[in-house]
Amino acid sequence: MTAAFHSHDQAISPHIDQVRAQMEALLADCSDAAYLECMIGKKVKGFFYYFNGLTNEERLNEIRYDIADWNIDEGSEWLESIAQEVTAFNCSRTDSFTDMMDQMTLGNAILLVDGNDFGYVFSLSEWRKRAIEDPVAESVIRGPREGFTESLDDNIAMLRRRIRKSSLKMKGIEIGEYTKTRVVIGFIEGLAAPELIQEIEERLSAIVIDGVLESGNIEEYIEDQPYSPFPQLISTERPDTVAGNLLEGRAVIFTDHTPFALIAPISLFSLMQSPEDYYQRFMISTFIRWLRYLFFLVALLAPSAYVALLTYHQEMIPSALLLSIAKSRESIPFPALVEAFIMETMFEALREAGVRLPKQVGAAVSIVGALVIGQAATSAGLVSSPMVMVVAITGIASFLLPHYSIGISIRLLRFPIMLMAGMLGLLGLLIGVIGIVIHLSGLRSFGVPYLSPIAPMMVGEWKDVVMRPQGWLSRQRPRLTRSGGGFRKGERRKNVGTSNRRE
Amino acid sequence: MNRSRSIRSRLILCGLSVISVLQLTGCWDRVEVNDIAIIVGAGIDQVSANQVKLSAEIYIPEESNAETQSGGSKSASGNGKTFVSSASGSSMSEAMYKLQERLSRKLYWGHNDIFVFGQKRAAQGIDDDLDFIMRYVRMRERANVYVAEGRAVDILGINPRLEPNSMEALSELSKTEISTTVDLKQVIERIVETPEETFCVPYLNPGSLLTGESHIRKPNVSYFQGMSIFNKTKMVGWMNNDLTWGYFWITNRIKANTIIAVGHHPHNETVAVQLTNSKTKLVPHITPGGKWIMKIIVRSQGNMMQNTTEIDFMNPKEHAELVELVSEEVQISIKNTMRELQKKIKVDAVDFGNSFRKKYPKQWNNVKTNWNETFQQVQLEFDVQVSIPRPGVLNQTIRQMKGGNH
Repeated sequence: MTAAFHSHDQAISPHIDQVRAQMEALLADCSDAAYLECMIGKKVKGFFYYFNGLTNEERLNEIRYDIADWNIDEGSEWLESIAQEVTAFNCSRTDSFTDMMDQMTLGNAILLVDGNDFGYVFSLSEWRKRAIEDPVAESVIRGPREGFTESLDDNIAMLRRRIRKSSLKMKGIEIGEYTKTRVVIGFIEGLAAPELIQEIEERLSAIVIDGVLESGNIEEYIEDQPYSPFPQLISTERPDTVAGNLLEGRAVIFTDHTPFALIAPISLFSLMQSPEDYYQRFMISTFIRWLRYLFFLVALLAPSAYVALLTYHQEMIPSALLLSIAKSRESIPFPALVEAFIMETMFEALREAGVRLPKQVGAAVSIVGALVIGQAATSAGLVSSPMVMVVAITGIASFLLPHYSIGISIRLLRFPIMLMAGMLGLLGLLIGVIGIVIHLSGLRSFGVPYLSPIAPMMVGEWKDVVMRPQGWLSRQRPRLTRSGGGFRKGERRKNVGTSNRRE
Repeated sequence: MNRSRSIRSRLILCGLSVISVLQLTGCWDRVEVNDIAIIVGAGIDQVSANQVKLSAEIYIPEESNAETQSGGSKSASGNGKTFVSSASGSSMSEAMYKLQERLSRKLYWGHNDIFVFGQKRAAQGIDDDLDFIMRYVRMRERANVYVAEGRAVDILGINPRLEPNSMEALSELSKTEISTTVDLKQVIERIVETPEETFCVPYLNPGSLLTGESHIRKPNVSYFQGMSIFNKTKMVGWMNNDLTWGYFWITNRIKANTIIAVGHHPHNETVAVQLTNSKTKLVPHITPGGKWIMKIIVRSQGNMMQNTTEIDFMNPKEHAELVELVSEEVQISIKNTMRELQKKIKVDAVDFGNSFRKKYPKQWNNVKTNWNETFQQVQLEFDVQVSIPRPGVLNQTIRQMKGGNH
């Protein structure tokens, strides 16, 4: 501890005026700190300390009037009687300034009484919170509409409501020298591997950081491979996603003041799954999963393949198509690679601008964007119309992936592969793809191979990758995350509602 | 700390140099679409004793709204979508080199789907050209091969009304039931497999040869004229469309939808059958006396298309008469073709040799070198049956219906 924090270690003086001086030194220049003087039983002097806006001031005032009416014994017994009276409230003791400050920042009020070398903490914390709303980044057609909020307690409550068993454990930890952010590891005892929980705890407690403002701050500290473009934890604001993953033996990391919870461990294929897959009928979900795999490749490779074919392998394009592409490319001054780079960069810029846009100018920018990208660029002879189409398809494809984090990784990887394709044609494209596959094969998320269950091969779990199996077919929990005995409850589906069954 | 930083900066330097090296070395065979002259058809003609003329139909990539006429050289076509450029040389490769000299863009063979040989060149022999075509990296070995009556360049110069260019027109023409497709690969296969390098290639007519100067409309189609027959890679003759029809029957190339129309004799009424499927089998046989016999078995099925005769389709007896009539017609056309091949052209264009080789390898070895002579002596047996299971929508002829009313 440096000298500046020296006052925290002071003992609490039993003389109220001295304590007051100490407190004022600690809270100097904290314009939001407030104090209220009170006379306990109209005899003993006391002070309430709290922060404006964090504490329920109405309730505090009630308590203050209440206190004034307390019966305080004469003589040296009065401290005892205060201690007794105080027990009527939700109240605890604190005997260090550090703890007092912690309690005050949580919204509790501190009562310091003349003659005591400790303080009382009144749990009166109450501040404005956002109501529970639709999860904005992960909307579904069918499925629960509530999303996490910035309040950790609300989030945990949402989860507890879904998994009503005491084996749902919530381990708390505090991270951040200044923010002292509460971080909670949630898991189901018996389903999650104890080693996993231990590993997460170790990684979390190893974090030394000034502040945690969002779960992203801790994500980059606990990732297995921080230099990978691929996310190794899922961030979600959906309680049902979290609950589903907990049931598969994974763990969740909640961070206070953010609606985004982290799920670990994951594989590439969990990033391709949306919670809605399990709510829609299995054929539809299976179809949609295949669509996602297809467009995953499109998002990654379409512009590169276009550039490679157009600059090196024209004979691979159907004749009629090549003729019409040649026609539209005739007046374009740039090579296909440069054209692709211009358009892709433009698209990314527009997308980013769209995210940050104030609502009032949104319409203007999207009109200009559509005109610039779509029409003007083609008619000005900057880009050819097939390229516009390729870029548009690629852009849409990257948003087909249900998790934003994987979509943006793909969009990023597109550029180096495009460069490779522009330099070496399909050979370069393949080198790029092979590089990515090699990287993915080595990647792990909390010890679980990123490409599981494809590599290492676990054929039994392919069901949940190549299709969305019906509930009664997917009784086995994922092997790499479960702690043991991994079968889900339930049996083969009974024939319900088949009226034409023969007796 | 300091050391790890220096390692990292060294790594970054390495990465940068690798990237710049890649950029320096890469791209050398990059060819933009803007820099290539896409060939959509090639013609090879004989101009003088040892001069070959290579003509290429080249696509003009020009926006459809731009009306500028940028006809390159010789025959700029009507709507300016393609033009034909030619150059001569002592060989294909020299001609191509000279052709390249005339063009600002690189000749691009990767999409060329047709090779048309002029009649003279075909008679001279096309093996030198085939060597070049098959050896050149970018060429398509599935490109169609044709022989043109007259000059090949005339076929390329045609700007068809219905199709965007002559490549499209020709490959579509080959798909119809009156024509057939022969590609380079098939030609090479036949050259390698047959002892006398015999093969057939569609024979085209530029259209201008059929219509005189007095004709009002400009002829802008090429016609399928039959098959030209090559022996030892030289064109030795050709079959007209009628003979080609028989040729298709023998070689099992007859396509569905082919129409068999028969004139029924007393009053020359018509019986027409539209084929739905057909199968031809060649069964070779050598008698102990050393006679070579080929049995041609045809099994076809078709629907009644027209029947103006008095023959009642629904009457089993008369139906047999119908079948007989149609089968007879097919058999006659096969006979005609075989007579032409055995007596006039004297070349085994129908690949009997292959059937005999498979069944009688020993005897085949003896006659292999002079196969075409043996071929002329091969006797034919026929077993042709065209069944007509469906009468179409009318059961009876209109005249019969009228008779029923009275």
